[in-house]
Amino acid sequence: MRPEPTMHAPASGESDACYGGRFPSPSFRALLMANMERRQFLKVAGVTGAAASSACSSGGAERLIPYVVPAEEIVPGVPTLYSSTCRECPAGCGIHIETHEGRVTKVEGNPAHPISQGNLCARGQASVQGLYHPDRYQGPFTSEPGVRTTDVAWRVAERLLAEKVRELQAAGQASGIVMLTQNYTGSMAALADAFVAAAGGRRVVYDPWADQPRDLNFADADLLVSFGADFLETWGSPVEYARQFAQMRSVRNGRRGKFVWVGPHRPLTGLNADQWIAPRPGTEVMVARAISGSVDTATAAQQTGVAPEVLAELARDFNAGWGVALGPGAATAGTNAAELQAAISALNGAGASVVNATRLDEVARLTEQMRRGEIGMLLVDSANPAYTLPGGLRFAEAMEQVPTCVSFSSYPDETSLLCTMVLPDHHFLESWGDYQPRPGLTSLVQPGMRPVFNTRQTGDVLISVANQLGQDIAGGANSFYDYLRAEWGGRTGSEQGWRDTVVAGGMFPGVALNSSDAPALSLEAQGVPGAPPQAEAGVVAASAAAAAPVAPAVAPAAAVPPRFEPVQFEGAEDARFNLVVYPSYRFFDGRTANRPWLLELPDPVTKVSWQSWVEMHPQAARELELEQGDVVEVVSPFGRVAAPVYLYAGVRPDTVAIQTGLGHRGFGRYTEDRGVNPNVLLGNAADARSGAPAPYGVRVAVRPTGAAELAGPPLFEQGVRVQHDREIAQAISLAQLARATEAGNAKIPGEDSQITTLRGNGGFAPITSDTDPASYPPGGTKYGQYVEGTTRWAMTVDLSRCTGCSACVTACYAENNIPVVGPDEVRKGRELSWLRIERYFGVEREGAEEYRQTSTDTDDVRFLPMMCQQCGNAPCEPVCPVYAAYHTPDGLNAQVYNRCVGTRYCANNCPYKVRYYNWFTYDFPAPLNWQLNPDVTVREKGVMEKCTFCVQRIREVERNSAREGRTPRDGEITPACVQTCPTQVFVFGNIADPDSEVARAARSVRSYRSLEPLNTQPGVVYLKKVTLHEPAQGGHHAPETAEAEAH
Amino acid sequence: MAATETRSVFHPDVRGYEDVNRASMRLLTKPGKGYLALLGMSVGLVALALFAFAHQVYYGMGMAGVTNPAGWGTYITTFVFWVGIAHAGTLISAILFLFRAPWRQAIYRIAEAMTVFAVLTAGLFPIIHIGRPWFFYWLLPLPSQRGIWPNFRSPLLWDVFAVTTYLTVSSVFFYIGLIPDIAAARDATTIPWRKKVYTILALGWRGSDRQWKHFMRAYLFLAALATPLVLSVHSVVSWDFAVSIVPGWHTTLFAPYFVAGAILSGVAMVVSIAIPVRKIFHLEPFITDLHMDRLAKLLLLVSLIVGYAYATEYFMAYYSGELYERDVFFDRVFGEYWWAGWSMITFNAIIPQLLWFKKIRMNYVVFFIISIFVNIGMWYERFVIIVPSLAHSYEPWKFMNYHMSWVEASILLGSFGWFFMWFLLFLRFLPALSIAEIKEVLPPPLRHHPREAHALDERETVVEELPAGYKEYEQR
Repeated sequence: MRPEPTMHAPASGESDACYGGRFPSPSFRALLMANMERRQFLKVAGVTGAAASSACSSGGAERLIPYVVPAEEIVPGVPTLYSSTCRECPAGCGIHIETHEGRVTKVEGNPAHPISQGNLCARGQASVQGLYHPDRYQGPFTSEPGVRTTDVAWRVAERLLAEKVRELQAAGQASGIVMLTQNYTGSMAALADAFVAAAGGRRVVYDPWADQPRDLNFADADLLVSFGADFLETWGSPVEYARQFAQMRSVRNGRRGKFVWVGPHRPLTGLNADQWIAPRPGTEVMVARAISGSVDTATAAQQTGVAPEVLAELARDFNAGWGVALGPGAATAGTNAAELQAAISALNGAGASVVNATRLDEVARLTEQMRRGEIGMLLVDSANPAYTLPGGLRFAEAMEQVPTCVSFSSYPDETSLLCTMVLPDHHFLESWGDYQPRPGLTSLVQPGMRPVFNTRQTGDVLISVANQLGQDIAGGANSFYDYLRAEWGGRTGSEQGWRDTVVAGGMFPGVALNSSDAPALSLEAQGVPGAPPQAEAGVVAASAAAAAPVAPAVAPAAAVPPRFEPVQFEGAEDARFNLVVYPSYRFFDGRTANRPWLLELPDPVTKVSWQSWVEMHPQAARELELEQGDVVEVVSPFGRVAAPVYLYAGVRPDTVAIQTGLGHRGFGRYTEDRGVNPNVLLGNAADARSGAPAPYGVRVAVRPTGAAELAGPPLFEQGVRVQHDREIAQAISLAQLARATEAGNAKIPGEDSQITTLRGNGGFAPITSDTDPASYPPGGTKYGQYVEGTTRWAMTVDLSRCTGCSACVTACYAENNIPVVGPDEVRKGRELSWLRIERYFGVEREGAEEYRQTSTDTDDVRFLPMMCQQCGNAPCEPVCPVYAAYHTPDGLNAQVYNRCVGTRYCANNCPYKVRYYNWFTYDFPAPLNWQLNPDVTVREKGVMEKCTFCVQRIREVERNSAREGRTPRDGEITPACVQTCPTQVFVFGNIADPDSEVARAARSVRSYRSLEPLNTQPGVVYLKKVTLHEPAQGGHHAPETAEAEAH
Repeated sequence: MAATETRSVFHPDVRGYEDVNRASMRLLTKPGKGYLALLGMSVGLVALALFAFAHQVYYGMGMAGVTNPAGWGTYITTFVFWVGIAHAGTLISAILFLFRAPWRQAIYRIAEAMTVFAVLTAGLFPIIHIGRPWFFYWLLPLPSQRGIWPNFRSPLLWDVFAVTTYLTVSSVFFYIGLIPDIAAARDATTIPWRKKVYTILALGWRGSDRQWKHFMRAYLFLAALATPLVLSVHSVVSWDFAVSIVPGWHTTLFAPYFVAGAILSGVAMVVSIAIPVRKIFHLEPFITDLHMDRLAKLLLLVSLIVGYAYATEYFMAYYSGELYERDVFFDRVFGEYWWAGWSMITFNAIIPQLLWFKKIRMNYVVFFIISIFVNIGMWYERFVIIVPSLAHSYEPWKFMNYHMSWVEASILLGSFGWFFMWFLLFLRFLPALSIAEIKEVLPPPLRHHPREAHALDERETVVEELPAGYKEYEQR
């Protein structure tokens, strides 16, 4: 949360955030921004500003404010925030769009929004790269696929579209007009329906991962059972659910909630589970029924292959406390998904509100019609069916039979490349709109800046085309904004009411729906990053309505035996693997796969970036004589892909899992021909009852290929899988924690000698002058005087709350202008991820995993955010020959980029390896460079860089508070990672102030500092992960065993 | 006794002063094709390195193979390697001078030249390896508008001082020692431009008693000044590593360990150069078997010291019980870089043990090969110290290996080109044998035949047989 953001509600249909005039063309604008000298810029800005004002007076829709007439709210250098709603996935998180001088530079969670509560996931953070993607369509055009494209003006494009519709209507083929869209809600859904009704056609929805409940609350559950629902990644509402999950698992009164994952493989969510139950594929529903008691344990055990005592224990736990079940997710959505859903609803006692919007049978019917030539016009908006639809449908082929395909896509994705007309939509950061993530909660989408390219909002196009057809679909409104405004008019009342709603980011009468959100959060209150860790506070979070345990309902009357009929595999006898195709945390269904930050971000589980992989159990790999990285061909009756094998004990030996997202043809320079698209392996199976897609029902053959080039560069997994006894990420069991709490902060003999009281809450004495080397180091020891009571910026990192999602990593990229280095450089270890999430497996040793159908060692997977530890006694500082690395008086290890000559000695001497080097001068191809944060230097080649707790934010708050004659309040300063973390892993503040939140957190019995014996006195304090069982690692190892285990 | 012994270090057929003059001046005449080919090759390598360096400056340090966590690689390895080479020169010329070792005269000039050129080579690497070499002067304590003094706590700064000091002192020492010989060359040469240059460089040397007296004083003082540098420079270089906290670097053993290593590599390099030079330029009468034998024994001694240091390192890693230290040392010999680790141990500590045998010492082909092995082994020693330690330090997430890139390989080769370019030029333009000092230990020209004078102490001549090239030399 930035201090004192200026909140804006634009008065007109366009954002006020445009200054500097309207530029003639995108390319000219890019040129202007990229290469122009200041003097020239002023000249051009003056001219275009004048032109813009005249355009304004001539009655254009745009309202322009040239710089010659400065808007009084705008202070150069002070960011302006706009409330809006993230549209990267169906969750609908409220966001603040941060703009600097009319440019969107960052997207942050809206603290007042009940879903995001100030936090965002990695996809949301990266949305700004979608806005500035250099390969966006720059304007409308018509094309004959593969032949040529013709740029047209919007006026012409709309007329062409209207003519086509009229032609089809005249020929009596209006029913052949079909609009295929994502699952809109709110105004756009109504408008699109009105449009297709006016045209005489119909609308088909395909948004496969959208049909999930977003109104659950399990924050105070005792037992959470997820049947393949990856709620930390994509399922439902990841940011909100992650927050609830962290609350559920935090220790209250010596207890914490337990999370059981049921499914054939473990994505990130499954990896966070305390227990993994992997029933025989397709029999998950029997586990649910065993819990509810509608099937006896023995029968269920026999069908699922899970030990009866495990099921019995699960049922007992579920029914004893407050149990919540989630599902189904991608990994369990088979042809019996409706039954599983019914069983889960029964477990929860009430049906979660899911309207099944996507009906694969509908889409299949459409495809069949297309193939038969019955579809005269296909309009595709916010969907990429040629990529996301199962290969069994052969949608792309069917598109060839459609004479007119119109895409509203902003990017050169698979579908739009096959279209005859492309009418690029605004990015959502340039759009007006609304979205209803769940009943009773409607969020507004507001633009943060003028469109980057010559795009036009699809709503506007639909209204305009309908007008040309002589139809009024918008109730007299001439633009989508007016339509939206009219739609909301009844709810917001006066003009002031509308402005207030826009400023707030929507209407949230439904805050009460989600009991944990009960106190409506003001901007001020959200300055505090999250609630204090509750482990020691012993506070049970007040929870209103939902807290009452729900009695398990009786199972559906007819206990239908679970069905699971894998697709008969034709022509190959070696189809022995069940295939799981699951959505990616980073790319969702592939729609965000063109953002370089997300491509560079390693997958939270596998730590592979820039490429695809096939997850396979080591045991299965041994049988096939496969090693990690060997390229295999995965063959289904519908298609085949070739990708390297990733050995992963978190998948059943009879199952392989492939993530969606990559494998695009087109979709921009970063994504093109990278990885594989597993959707081509899927058939068109749908759940018989609901019509929902049933991706989990294909058997595949896995065949080793010698041809490594099939899958591009060799597989590269970042980091290592085990800690090599370094105790970087530590854990403590509940029992140990209880004993430690009893004993206070004293060491517990023989149990865990790492728990110590925190020493050195201080920093170096202030340096009187930055430039006078004579005053450095300032007295005392040769390391300087270590003084208590001064400001020392510090951070606690609660490993118990960290789910490994890596939203903080992307936020760090966004805030600090961190360049993306690309796959070849990542392979060399040259990524510049100032903050990285280390993922260590515990007892699962490389290559030695034996399959356990139910495993309790999942609690030994540890995620550890590793950033600069801001050592009080920093090894990096004394070795720098030019004082580029120096210590600030408030305890930061600062790095002066301009002073660095690049000896790399500091990085060598850093035990945490968190100093990053600019091996090249990295490119931010226009307009991606518009995203750069003006508060942070862009570094050139040969310069070392690193995390400084977002020093620009610290200094900003310090200056602002100094102006008000006070010191910064606790929690007022929020580094980017702290701000975005959905689970409040981080607490930041002045640790020298004993009353600060961070000092309180650091006094926990769980606290430790990484590599403590090196006496680096880090300013980052970790809080041990709390496991249910005794951790298998993290205690002291005898040195004799260290060597043997490390190798 | 001492006097007679010194007299006997040269071959008996070196009859008098004019033999020395002739042999020395002959080197300065028109070069042969082989020489030009060698020089051309060296210059070619320098050009290659220049191209690679330009590439690196233009595109960035990423053109090198260094990475995170192995931020140092070939460049620092090669830097330490050349600094080490430099040491034997000073050892042979200054320390042996002070100890009045009788066998140094023939080889000390070559060794000194080697020192200067090796420091000249080493000094380039700190500039090559930094990310922004155009700001290299920020490491120097120059009063400037920046108002920032360098950080005197940084070992890299100590390095700057150590290397520049060493370069200055060894150059001055080299030059002072050359003055009488340059004067001889001035008097001998017939090429006008050379005469001019030699005249300037000879500083008006006339060979008067006064001049000799001052010369000897200056030389003695400089030798005394240079001697501590042999120990200090490489100690400082070792602190580049020892002062850090990187496991495998952070050890008090490093200063003596590095000095011993430096002497080992330096002596090996002297041998590697002396054997072909004496052969090619027919200097066997001056650089005799006795000299080579002494060099071999010195090599053997230092190799034992280095082997002891290796053993100490591993023992300390084991005995400390320190997890990180143990892992690093385990990794050195059984990890990714096992080949480098074993090369270092084999080449530096085991192979030189062959020199216990006199037959091997006297077989110059084998001796030469051993010296090359030691040179390679010493490069690997620095590599093994630098890279695996960084690649396997504290943070397991960043265990990552280093691979040399073509740019680094080119610059490594270019450094040899650079060194040998200077060395070859030196052979042609400055007297590679110290005329004055050799004459000093020859019997003065007397009226009776020098043969007879020599025969007086025949028992002292330890030359077994005439080397092959000697006959040819005699026939000219």
